[in-house]
Amino acid sequence: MRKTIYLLPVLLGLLFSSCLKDKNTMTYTIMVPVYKDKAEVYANIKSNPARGISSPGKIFLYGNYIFLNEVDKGVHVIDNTNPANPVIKTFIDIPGNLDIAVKDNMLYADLYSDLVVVDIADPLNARFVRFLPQVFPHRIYSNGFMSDSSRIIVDWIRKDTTVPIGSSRRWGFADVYILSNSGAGGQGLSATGNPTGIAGSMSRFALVNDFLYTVNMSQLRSYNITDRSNPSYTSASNLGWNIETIYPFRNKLFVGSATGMFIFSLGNPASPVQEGTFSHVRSCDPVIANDTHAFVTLRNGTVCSGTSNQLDVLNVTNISSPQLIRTYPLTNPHGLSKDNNQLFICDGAGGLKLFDATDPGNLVLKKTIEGIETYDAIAWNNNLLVVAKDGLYQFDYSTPFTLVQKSKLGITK
Amino acid sequence: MKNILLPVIIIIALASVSSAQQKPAFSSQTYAGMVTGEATTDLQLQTINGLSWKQWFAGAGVGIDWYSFRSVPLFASVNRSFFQKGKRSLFVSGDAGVNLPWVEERLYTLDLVYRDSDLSPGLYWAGGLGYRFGVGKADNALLFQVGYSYKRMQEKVTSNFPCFSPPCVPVTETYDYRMKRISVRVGWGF
Repeated sequence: MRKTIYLLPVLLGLLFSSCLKDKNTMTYTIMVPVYKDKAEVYANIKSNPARGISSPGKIFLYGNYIFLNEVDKGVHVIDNTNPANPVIKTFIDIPGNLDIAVKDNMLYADLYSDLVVVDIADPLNARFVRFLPQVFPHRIYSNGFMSDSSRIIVDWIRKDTTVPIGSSRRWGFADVYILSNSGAGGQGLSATGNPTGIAGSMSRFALVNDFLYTVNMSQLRSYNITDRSNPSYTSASNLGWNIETIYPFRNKLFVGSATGMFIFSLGNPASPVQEGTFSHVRSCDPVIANDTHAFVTLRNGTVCSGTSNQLDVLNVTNISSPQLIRTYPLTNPHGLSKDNNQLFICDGAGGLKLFDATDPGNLVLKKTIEGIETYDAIAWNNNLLVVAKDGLYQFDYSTPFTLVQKSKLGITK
Repeated sequence: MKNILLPVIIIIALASVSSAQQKPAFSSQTYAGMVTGEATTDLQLQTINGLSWKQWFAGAGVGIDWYSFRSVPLFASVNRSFFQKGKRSLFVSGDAGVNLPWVEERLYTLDLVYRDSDLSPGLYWAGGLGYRFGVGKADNALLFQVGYSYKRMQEKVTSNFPCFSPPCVPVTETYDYRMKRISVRVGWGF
């Protein structure tokens, strides 16, 4: 008996030796693409029945209509004749769509790496006109997949997957990445001052007279749209990596990148020339500007990296040498919009902020609307459009430095 | 968490009741040893303090366990001695509690991908057979123990990939680590 007892530890060890295999697992999500033939996709780029908003992206204000991007899906056409009661009229299916711009009844939109032109003379009866390939080459891949010459990804099926992993700690990339993109609208008056077409500060498209400018991850590209239905490529400028936004003002283009702001002159609109640069710490930076000042929001997170969350106000009187006037700390600023001396900033989870910008060197916070996660805004004619995570808001700001909510188009799950 | 804390409360309550009824004495066990499993062999340190009464000991323990990922087990422990002969005896032990991660939460950058991790606690339990060898006066003793030990923790890794316009959805991967080891340790008790 005694011998047996003393052997117990050994017996226990042998018993447990089969139970010494660590059980480590990794759970991740696979995104499986759903393809459609290109011909079928193009045929469906038209006014389809209205659908609920689920992932609001960038916005474009065009007359009484709001064009609201549904991330990676298409464009909601919203009748905003009565801002207190906006009505979604139709949905234009454009897979992979993030950016939109409208000029003289032509809608320009990205379809993954391509640019498509859609005739919206009758917004309720839109029709596909043509596409230009490889305008946004950085978007040829999506979630690790790419469309081929004959098929386009139109949807994704999510699959949660758990797999065993080795016995040591690791950080393995999931087999398939989720490169999820979405956008938000904002403001920005087109260079011509045309009140019928206003893009947001988060936009990658800018319309100036007879030219459409686009930015992809590394380039500014120019397209002549004298023939509105047939953009023709004219030039490209390489700007480095991580170009984020483009904003037109008069005869200038302000381009926001992760490392700085570039100012281009449109003396020759077919081939913009870089005239000034303002470098900043690595972060994302939508920008708006007027004759004398540029307002640049810097934020961290995602690819923006960095730790800055702030508004930089620059003196751009001399565009070849922008000067920083002052920096204002913020929560996580995204798009912004300005109407006279009222500056609206979408501060991410920090809500919507309204500043008195009478003196750009001394902005005064007048109002904060908390509880909404805001991305971009368009301020026009005393009506402020705000895209937030949970929908499209509209506010009246006719009384200076006050915001009165007129409506909200919420998302549907 | 409630499930893990419950045994601690019960044991402490039992010990308290015992204390009131049978005059149990304060007792302490401090161990150093190794845990070895599929992944590696690493150091462990533990101290358990509680009350002893007749053949029983019940207490609360805390330690540091370096197996794969450094963690802090926080647990309730029960021992029972048997085959006592003079100052020597065998004892069996059972521990149950929570395994608290003590690992740096890393921010990792690869080109344009930014990743960080969030670690969360998991179950800890252990069981073993020990030998108590009394030395000197009072109840001082050398302790030798062999047993089986299990600890678990989870890690949520969030990766932010290049995103071309907000809002951007990060990729999350959830890692579940369930580590099973043989524990060999020596200690000092009184």
